[in-house]
Formats: sequence, C-alpha cells, structure tokens
Amino acid sequence: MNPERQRILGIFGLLVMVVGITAALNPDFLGAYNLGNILRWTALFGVLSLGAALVIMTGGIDLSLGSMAGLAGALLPWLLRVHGWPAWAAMMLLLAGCALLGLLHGVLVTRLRLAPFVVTLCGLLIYRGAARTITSEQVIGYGVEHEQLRLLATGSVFGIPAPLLLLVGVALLTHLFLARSVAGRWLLATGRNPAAARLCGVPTNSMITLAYVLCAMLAGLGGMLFSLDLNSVTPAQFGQSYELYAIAAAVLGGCSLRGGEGTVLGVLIGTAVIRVLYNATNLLGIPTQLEFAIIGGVILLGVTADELLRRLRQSRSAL
Amino acid sequence: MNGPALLNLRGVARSFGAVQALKPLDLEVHAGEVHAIVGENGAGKSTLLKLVAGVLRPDAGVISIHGQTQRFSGPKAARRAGIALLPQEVEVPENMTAADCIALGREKRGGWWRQRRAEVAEAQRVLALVHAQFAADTPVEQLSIGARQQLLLARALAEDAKLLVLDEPTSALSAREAEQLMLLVESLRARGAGILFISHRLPEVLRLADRVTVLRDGERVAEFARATCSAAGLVAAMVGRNLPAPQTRALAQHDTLLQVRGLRTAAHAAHSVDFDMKRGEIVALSGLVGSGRTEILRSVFGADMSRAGNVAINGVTIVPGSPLHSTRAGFAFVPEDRRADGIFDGFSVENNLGMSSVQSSAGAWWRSPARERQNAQRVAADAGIAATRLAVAAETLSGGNQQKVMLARWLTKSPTLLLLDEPTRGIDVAARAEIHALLLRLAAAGTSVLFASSEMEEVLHLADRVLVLHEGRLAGTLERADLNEERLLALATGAHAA
Repeated sequence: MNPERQRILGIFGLLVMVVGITAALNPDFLGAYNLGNILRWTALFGVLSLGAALVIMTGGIDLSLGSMAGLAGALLPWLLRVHGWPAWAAMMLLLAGCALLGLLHGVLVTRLRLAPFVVTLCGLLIYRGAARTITSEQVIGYGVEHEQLRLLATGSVFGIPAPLLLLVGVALLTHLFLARSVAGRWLLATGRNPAAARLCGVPTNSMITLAYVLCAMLAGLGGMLFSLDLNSVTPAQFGQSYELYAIAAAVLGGCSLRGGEGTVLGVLIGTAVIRVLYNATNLLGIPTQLEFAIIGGVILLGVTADELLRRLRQSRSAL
Repeated sequence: MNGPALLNLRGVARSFGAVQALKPLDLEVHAGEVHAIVGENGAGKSTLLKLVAGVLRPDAGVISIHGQTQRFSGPKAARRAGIALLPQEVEVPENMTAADCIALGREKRGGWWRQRRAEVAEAQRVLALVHAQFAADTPVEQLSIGARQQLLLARALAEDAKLLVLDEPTSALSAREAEQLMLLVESLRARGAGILFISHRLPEVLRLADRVTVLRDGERVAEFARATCSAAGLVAAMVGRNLPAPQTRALAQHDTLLQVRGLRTAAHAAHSVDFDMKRGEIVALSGLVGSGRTEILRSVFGADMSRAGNVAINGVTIVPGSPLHSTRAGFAFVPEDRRADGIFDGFSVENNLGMSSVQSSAGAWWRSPARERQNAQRVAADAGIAATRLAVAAETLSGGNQQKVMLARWLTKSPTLLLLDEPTRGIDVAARAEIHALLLRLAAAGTSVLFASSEMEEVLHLADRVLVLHEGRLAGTLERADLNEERLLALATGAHAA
C-alpha cells in the first residue's frame, strides 16, 4: 500500500477513535442535530484548510488567512447593508480583492524572497486592522434581509447542509487540480524539490504565487460563508486564529511543512477530527479552558505517530 | 633529519564498501618540511587527508605524531594532537569578529565570563604571525576568501598546531592572494611547522614542496625529492596507466548548433569563454575542481541569472535565469547533485521520469496519465531502467539508476542540446557503461552533448572535442585526434600553456 493511502487510513482511524470514544461517553453526540452542526462547521473550516494546505504543499505558510476571512466576512454585510450592493457583485469584488492580496503575498515571497512567515504575519495584522477601520468597529449582520443568500451557509438539500455541498465541490476541484492538472503536478514538485523543479523547466515562482492566490480566495470564500452562517460579525474578532485551525488540519491531514506532499481527503478528515474534538470537549463537560490543550495534544499525538510509522517503514525498507 | 618524524603513517588504508580508496600507505612529514600530495581526481588524496585530520578512521595501519601512536576519535582529537586542517571550502562563522572566530570554542574564561581582552591580545599575536592585513576586530563577513584562510591559519597557530594540512588552498584565490599564501607557507615552514600540502597546481607544488608523493588509484606510485622533481615527471607519474587510445569516430560535417560568446560567470568574472558546438557533437568540459566547469555549464543552460555574454541555439538567444525558456528551446540539463537538484524524493520513478514533460504540449492544462505512463515506459527502456521499478519511490534507487532517471526524463522531448554535469559520479561500472552507450546513441541520432567531467577515462571515451579549463580560463581545446591524457593534464594543471 502506498504511504499516502496509509496516511489517510491512519488519520481516518484517529477520527473513528475520537468519534467512538465521544459517542460512548455521551450518546447525544450521535444525535441528528449535533452531527448536522459538526458537518456544517467541518465544511466551513474545510474550505480554509484546503487553502492552507495548498500553500503548505509549496513549502510555504499562510498565517493571514484568518484575518483575510475576517475581512471578507465583515465587508460582505457592510457592502450589502450599508452600501446596498447586489449580493453577486459584492461577493465577486471580495473574491477578486482576496486574489489580489494573495498575488501580493506570492510576489513578495518569490520575487523579493521575503520569508512566507513574515509576509503573511504582516498580512494577519494589516487585514485585521483594515476590517476594523472600514467597518468602524460596528458589529454587523444581515438582519432579516438576504434570507436567500444566507441559505448558502444555513440551508440544506435533502438533509445535507449546503456548505457541505459547497465543500464537496471545492474539494473535488482541488483534488482534480492536484491530481490531474499540469499546474498541480508542478505545484507539488516545486514544494518537493524547488531546485530540481526549476532545472526541469517548471515555472516555480508562478506555482508558489498561484498557491497564495488560491489560498487567499478560499479564505475569502470561507469567511463570507462563516459570516452568512453567524449573521453577526464582530470585526475585531471574527476569524481570529482560524489560520491556526486550518494549518493544524492540513498538517494533521498529511501535509508536511517541508512541502511537496498532502492529499485533499487527508486534509478534510484532519479538519473533521479537529471539529469533533472541539464538539466533544463541550458535550463531555470538559472545562472549556482545556479545549485548546486537548486539540493541541491530539494533533501532537497524530503527527508523532505518523513520524514514528514513517521511520519504521524506512528502517524496514532499508533491510 | 633526526628523531621521529612529526607525522608518520605506517600501512594506513581505508575502504568504502568494496572500493579501496587508499591502499596501505607509508608517509612521513618532518617539522620544517612541506610535503605535497598530487594525483588525479579520485586518486585517494582526500581520503588520506581525512584520515590524517581524524575525520575518517583507518581500517588498518598506524598514525603517529612525534613517535607516539594516535587513535583519533574525531577531528577534535586530531586538533588536540596538533593537526590543523584547512579545508578546500573555507567555512567560517560570519556573524562575529576575527578575534571571536579565533577564540571560538576555546574562549578565555574568568569563571563564567569571557575575557575578551585576552582573546583580542592572542588574536593580534597570531594574526601578526600570518601577516594578516586586517585588525582583530574586523567582522568576518567583510573578509575576502584569502583573508579568511589567513584567519583559519591564525586560528591553527593559536591552537599550537604543529602540522598544517592544506587541501587545495589556492583553488579559490586570486593570483595575488595565492602568492601571499605561498609566502606565508614558506614563513611557517621556516618557523618549524610541518605542512601537508595538496594541490592540483603543479607550479605551486614545484615551488613549495620539499617532497612530493604521487598517488594514483589509492596507491603511491612515485615519490620525488625537491631536487629530482619536474613538471613532466609529475604528470607522467600521475597518468601512469595506459588507457586505450580513443577510437576515432566518424563525425559527419554538420552545421553549427550552439554559439557561446563572451560568457562570464560570477565565479571567474575576469575571464570570458567562447565556443561553438555542432549538431551531434560531444564536447567535454575538462579541468580541475574549481576551474569553472559547473559554472559554465549552468550558465549555458541559463540556470543562474548572473552571467554576461551571449548563448544562442540555432541563432536564437537564450534568456539567462529561465530554465523554462531554455527547455522550450530544446536544452536539457542533468545536474551534478542528484539529491539536491535532481531527484524528487517520495515521488515515484514514473513521476520523476515525467517531470520534464508533464505538459504534453505548450499551453496544455491537463495531464494525460496514459501518455505519461507510455512515455515513462519508453524512456525507461531506452535508459535501461527496469520496468518493475517504475512504481517505487525514486530515492530508493541506486545512484546509478537515479542518474539514469535524471537523464531519461529529458528523452521524451528529444532535446537538441543535452548538458550534463559529472554524468557518472559515484555510480557503478555497469551503470556507467550504460549511460556512456546511451550518450553515444543520442549523439549519433543528432543530439549535441556538452558534459563536464573529472573522470579522465570518461572524457577520453566520449568526447569529440575537449575544452580544457584552468582557473576559469579556456586553457586550450583538444580535438579527438590530438587527445591524450598527458596533454589534457598539462593544460588543466597549468604545467604549460596550449
């Protein structure tokens, strides 16, 4: 069995374990309402995780995506309610704006050779400030208008939450991109060995830039969906530390920070594990102060087990 | 000389796997003596040097200093015994001053605290001994390579080194810096230091060495005292074996394919290189380590931005710094360092083979797995890679097979010019023969091949023409008819001009 599939099975096993333990301790976990909620939030976070994963696959990192999601999520109701824009135009504008910011990240990383960590950390600070300034720190929502639009995040089709359908669409496109497109192969090759990829004639700078653009657009899309779901956006906080959840999900899902590896399915399962853990701490009455510690602990356990298994495989194949 | 030698080797040998890099060797270095080691690439010089400096441990034999047997547990133990190695690539920490660098690891202490004043005083003392032109508080990052070497020598003196081991110390220096270094070596010898000196540059050897040992294939083949030493004698001893004379090969008179004019690389900015290549011709870039072979190869391919001059294929100028452009123009490049620049770890052999031709036609968006598999199978068969290996991870292949993968990945596109840097370094004889046969087949089919190689046999076997480089300058061109080892070596070592 190839290591990629092994890894997906491993993380899936972790998901089953966490679900099993939680369900055994509190049967309410398997209730339709609770499961629906987990799926909805897994879907919303999944969009962000896929973006984070694309950048990590090139060997970079995007710390700005939480603020980017916050910016898009705060500006959507602001454009709709304060300025009366039509929904489609506002969403197009915000997606294009995010793409432009992603392009800027990519250019700074590839042309000026600035460290991705620094570029996107500055992005994290700047976009947060921008969201707060533009909206004058007003808590903003959609009120009772735009019910139709909000169905994108809150609705369901045959009992399947709408954002889950959106995520499946995005995930399929991403998978197709990585597995079957020329650019997808180039992107993974760039992350795996940039020097070799360049000498093979791969436009490595363009591939890295593309990853930042896609990540920023997915962050924008995710942010807008979150905001439609919540219907109340506090510009100072909305989307805060989402980048850490997204990066954690990507890493747990098999993306090495060294770049060049990772699968869409793994990242989605990784996202689900984190959401289930979050849900479980609430359901099992574990003090909320411990919530982050538990999520952190399980992720650490997961990546440690993965690394140990990898070494075991290596020492076996060396014999 | 009286008393036991400063350094004494008795029957010291070392193997790597099945290869005996150094056969049992006796060698002495006395105090106040320069002992030079010469030999071709792969003769065992580096192994010898690493054994003396404690980097490697001998399989057999005894190393003694002043008659005392030594068993070095590592480089640190060798340094404590008074042996200082000045490596070919000078590596010094850049984020400190010269005095800090000299004191690093042996800081003068008063309790928990460093005593900087004592460190600076010692630095000034030893820097004066090496005739350094810079002050002890100069930041290391401001020092030239020559000055950094002086710094390392000063550090060795501060450690009370009795034996200095210099590995090609002048290979990265300008002529003026090299002259300074030689004066310094002479003054250290006069002060009673023993010096083991490894160099490819015969004029330097002739000037400095009191004794010269010639190694070939891990064995001493000759030893000369200063009085009996000559350039011709050294070259004859280094070559030794009689290689079969290169077979003449019919080279059809083709038109010119590649034009290189006024090419300058950052490493040797003072010299520019001009040459042409014909279609189907195999040209070798030959020269010593540091002569600029790799840089010229990379510049022709356009791997690096920094270059001056013009490279044109079929009259079309190549954009520097854009491998994408070069590969579309029909160039292919097989780099020297398989791990760093060639193989994609964790990708299957098939994916590695497909990497240069993921895009089946310019502007295509989607890959075609079926065609990729077909192409991979075809080029794997061409290059002699077993079809059963296509699915395994590339890093599990042997060096020879990895080398074939790096070459074969270009064959789907049938390149017009194939550039290779050390095409068979560190691989087994059978794989080497297969790669040589493949290169000859490609050339016969009209692909031009430009390769850099340190392996004399490889150059003699493959090349229609050899461009010999010496310190970044084109020292001479040898046509296949005039090609032999003595001429090549004489040009490469600067023993005489062409």
